[in-house]
Amino acid sequence: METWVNIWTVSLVVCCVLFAIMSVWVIIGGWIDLQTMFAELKQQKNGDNEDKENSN
Amino acid sequence: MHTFVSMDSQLQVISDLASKTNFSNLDWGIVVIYLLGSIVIGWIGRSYVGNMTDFIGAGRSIGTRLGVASMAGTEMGLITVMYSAQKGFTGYFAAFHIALLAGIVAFFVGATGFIVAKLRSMEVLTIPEFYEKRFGTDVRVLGGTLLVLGGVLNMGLFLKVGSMFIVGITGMSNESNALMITMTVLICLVLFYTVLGGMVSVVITDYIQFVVLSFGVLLTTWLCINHLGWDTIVNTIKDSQGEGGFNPLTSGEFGWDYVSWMVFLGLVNCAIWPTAIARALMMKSTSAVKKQFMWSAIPFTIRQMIPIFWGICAYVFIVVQAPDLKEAFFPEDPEAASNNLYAMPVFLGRILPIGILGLVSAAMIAAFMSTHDSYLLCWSSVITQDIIAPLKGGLSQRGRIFITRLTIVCLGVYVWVWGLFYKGSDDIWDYMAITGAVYFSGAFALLWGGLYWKRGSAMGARLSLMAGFFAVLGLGPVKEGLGMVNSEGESIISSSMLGLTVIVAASILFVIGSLLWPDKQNKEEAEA
Repeated sequence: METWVNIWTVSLVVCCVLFAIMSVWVIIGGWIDLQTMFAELKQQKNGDNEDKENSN
Repeated sequence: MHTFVSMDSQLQVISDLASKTNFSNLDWGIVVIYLLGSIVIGWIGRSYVGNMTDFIGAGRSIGTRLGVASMAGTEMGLITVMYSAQKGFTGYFAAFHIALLAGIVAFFVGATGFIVAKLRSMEVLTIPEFYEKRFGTDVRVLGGTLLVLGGVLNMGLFLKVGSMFIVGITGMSNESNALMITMTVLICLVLFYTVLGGMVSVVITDYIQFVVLSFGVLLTTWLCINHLGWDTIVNTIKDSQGEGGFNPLTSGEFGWDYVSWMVFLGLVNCAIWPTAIARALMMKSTSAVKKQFMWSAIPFTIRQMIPIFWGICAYVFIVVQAPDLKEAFFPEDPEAASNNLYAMPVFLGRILPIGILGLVSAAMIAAFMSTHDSYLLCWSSVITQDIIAPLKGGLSQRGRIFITRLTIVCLGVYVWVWGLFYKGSDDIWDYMAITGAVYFSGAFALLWGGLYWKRGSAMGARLSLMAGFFAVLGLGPVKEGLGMVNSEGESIISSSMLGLTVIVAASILFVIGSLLWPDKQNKEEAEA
């Protein structure tokens, strides 16, 4: 039984530590990705509008 | 078996127990500010939507880190928190295997690109779209229909269970229809921003929800350990459950068949389930998809491990420190036991301090909303793209967006009604696994067969999809209706065994059907 206790204790600690590290990476990097996404969507939408105007 | 059916009749008992919560006006303030923020996001997202690809795929412009945040936000839903906590409450540390296996499988999928990378390289927007490219339009429509059937059944209890958490943690009284009002407010908010902004809104809210959720989850876990003490938690389980509280193979709750079923569900959750696949299909490249899944192994583990741990802590708290709760959840007559889904929220409501309680509630509401929005968008886009559009033909971009929005609203109404009226007797996790199997049993065969086996044929695909439908036999009311229970009301065949059987049968039928009725092109190649 002690083996299982140790496995689950280590699993919980390792997962929490990894999640904390990953959260910092995702929060900072995700913000940068979000800005990029807005810029690309705006560009795509402007492109669509220009295409519509040209076809008219 | 912990019944869902007795929930309503026990709400008054739960309401009395939950009234001892620490939830204050400050906590309410935090929650309300968060909810209002969601409305603003819906409005912002609306201005970025130009066409259908923007609406259901955010213009395929998502980077790896945002993709991970979105995946984590979607998959770490309140429903996951609730059913995992329930598994921890009844299965103790042995239930950790579910989380660990899910993480290992997600990492494997990321490292190899199994299914997800190939699908992304085909540039499809939905899984049924892949069916059409590989097997033809009728398979797309059939696959889409079964996907929606399994999917909407699967999310049928999300709203009610999520609302139960909020009622439990805030201590709202049942006498004022708190559950129904909570359900109504939450679904209206989700519908508002999802209908307006589609995937753009969903991704923005997923990101914010990830920020709130990551803080809330880690802080709550630390406070649980701080309140109870690690040694008390472990020793209480040791004393009350022995090895079965830690070893999934000897636990009465699990066993070999259950562990095998969890390996497969781990694969399904990250590589076959449409909401997870939707995240893969909106990534910039296949390499970004692989990275996304490898990193997502961590949230795929955490999303279940932490709530399972909260469920274990709730059990320890009730047994060691709360005699009133012990009387309610473990009475001498087991039939009179309160619904154990409420154990974790009531426990958190008692141990978390003012302010933190509001933050954690906002995090959980975030988890609730991020799952709902993604699911609503996913099923509605399948209905539009894979059922209505192929059948009707010639639908404009504007028409597609309109139908998708309309379908989102209809699905929202369905979830509200189903949550109020469904009277099943399944554990939530088992209910979800079985309803999901209606879709994924057949989909698994079509995906591996379609992507990695050249001889897979349309007839094999049809047979496999139809075989998956038999997974509904695992639902409590269906089992009872067909007499698949013994004199004591227990199932003759476990849900995990039934699920595994249907999956194997679907794959076998796919192979047999493909060999006996090959597609014309394959037949010609074989003859040549």
